Amino acid sequence: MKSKTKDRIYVICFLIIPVTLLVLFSYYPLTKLIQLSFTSWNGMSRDLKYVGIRNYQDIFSQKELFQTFGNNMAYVITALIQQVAGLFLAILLNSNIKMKTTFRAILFMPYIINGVAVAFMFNYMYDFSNSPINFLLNKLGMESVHFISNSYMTNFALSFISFWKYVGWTMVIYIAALQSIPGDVYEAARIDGAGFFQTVRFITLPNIKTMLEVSLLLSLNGALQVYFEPFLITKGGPNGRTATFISKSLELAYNYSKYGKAAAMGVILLIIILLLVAVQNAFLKGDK
Amino acid sequence: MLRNHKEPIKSTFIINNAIGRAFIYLIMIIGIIGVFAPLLIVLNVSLKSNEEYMMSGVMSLPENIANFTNYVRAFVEGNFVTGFLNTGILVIISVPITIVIASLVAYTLSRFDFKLRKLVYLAFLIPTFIPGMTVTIATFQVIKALGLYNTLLAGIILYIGTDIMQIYIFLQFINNVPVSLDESARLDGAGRLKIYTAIILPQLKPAIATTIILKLLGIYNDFFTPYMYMPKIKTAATSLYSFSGDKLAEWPLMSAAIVLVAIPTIVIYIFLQKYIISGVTDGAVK
Repeated sequence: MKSKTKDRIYVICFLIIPVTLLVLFSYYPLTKLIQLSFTSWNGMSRDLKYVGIRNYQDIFSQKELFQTFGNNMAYVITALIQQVAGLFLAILLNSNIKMKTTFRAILFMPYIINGVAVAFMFNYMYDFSNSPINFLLNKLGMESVHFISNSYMTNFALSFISFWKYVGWTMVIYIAALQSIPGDVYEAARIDGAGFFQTVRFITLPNIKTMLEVSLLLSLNGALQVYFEPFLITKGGPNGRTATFISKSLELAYNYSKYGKAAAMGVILLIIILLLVAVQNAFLKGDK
Repeated sequence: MLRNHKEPIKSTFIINNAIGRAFIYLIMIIGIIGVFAPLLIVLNVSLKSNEEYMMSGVMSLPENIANFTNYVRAFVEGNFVTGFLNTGILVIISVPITIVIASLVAYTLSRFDFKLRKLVYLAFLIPTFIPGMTVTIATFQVIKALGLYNTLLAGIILYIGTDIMQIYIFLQFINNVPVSLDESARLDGAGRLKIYTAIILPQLKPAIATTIILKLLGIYNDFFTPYMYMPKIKTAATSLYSFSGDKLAEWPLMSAAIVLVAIPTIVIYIFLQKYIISGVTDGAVK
């Protein structure tokens, strides 16, 4: 057999399973999602009834659906704070202090702990009458705090859980970015007599711009898709005050059998995230 | 890009004044307390009996530091044997298959010259931009249609089929292996498969080691896949979730269950933290 034909057989053999999986779990779900978003499917019936763009109209007109984005904003704000905190820690750990590697290892640790365990751990921290935090506050002569209540702040309490879990991750990513800045750039700044803040502003930040953008995108992406903490701790309640866009969409599908509307919500979120990616790519191109 | 795992962090800022240094240590100490305080509180409570917890509260140390009653109860009542076992099966089956599939795709894309190569490359690249949570409802239909709902296979096939990033990580490595190695092997009469097993795979060793660790952590910590696609088959994470259902008010018992599920990855981390951190950064920086 000619080696060209043989190669062709190898290519087919090596790719057939991965491509099948790719179609089944990436492309088919995507097209199916778009198709479902134009139907009133209830999850059971055999044939699909097309309803045009009614699902989309419903989502934009029903306040409580769109309000969930407001709850996601708490996660977005926390994600931004997480970026700043992670970068700050990374810059501190990039100095000439001792035990850097130990500090880095400890601050990164929450990232590898099981998320369900972390969520329930914080559920305990936030419990009104049992909370260790409230215990300390009382000792200091302060009143107990309702961490989980029907105020908007509950969203921040929930988003803090992912801050705790992921700030070390952000830090580690920024440390890697900072390490890639050549040392002589700093040397030059030092000789010029630049202070700490000047160095950060004129050397560190411009040199890690790409990483800043990528990391920001990743954490915004996560904040928009958040579902885990509200699902485990508040179930989106009370009265939808902590429901996020994804948790609402899953609830619509699995609790109320409104698959069409849930799919439309998925499509909307997908478009928003793809827009973010496009904006970021445009920025990256502009840099080069 | 293989980073030396033992490499310490280079210092780019030289802090000469004592105040600046004290400030950094202060921030680090606050951070460390922030990490450990909730973990230690939960550990502390988990070693107390219910009565003891009612009497002495959260902060005081347990009377008997070796009181593992809550752990035994949590382990038995939460049916964690099954949970850990199922997680183990998911890891043992999905991780090697992912590695074989992803490395074969990367090998094909890197070393074979065929018409549709660019297209296949793009076909694998595009889905990395699709955020997983948004398509859940449709993926659910696929799993159901394949008859995999509520079977371990649902988890296995999703862990294998949706890990596209892995292909790119391997591709980076294979592209760095000189093609001349392949050619000299071919002159010695080695076929395509032989080149894959004898040249490519050994070169991928460090990447494979990182993949095993990160994939293991990922599967162990995943809640969504088992909860969504195989709710009747409990993993460590979903066992903890169902255990919480009626035990949430019994904090000492619940704390023991939390520690039970948290401990395995913490132990792995203690031994392998350098590899885990460099694996995570390599994956993200690329």
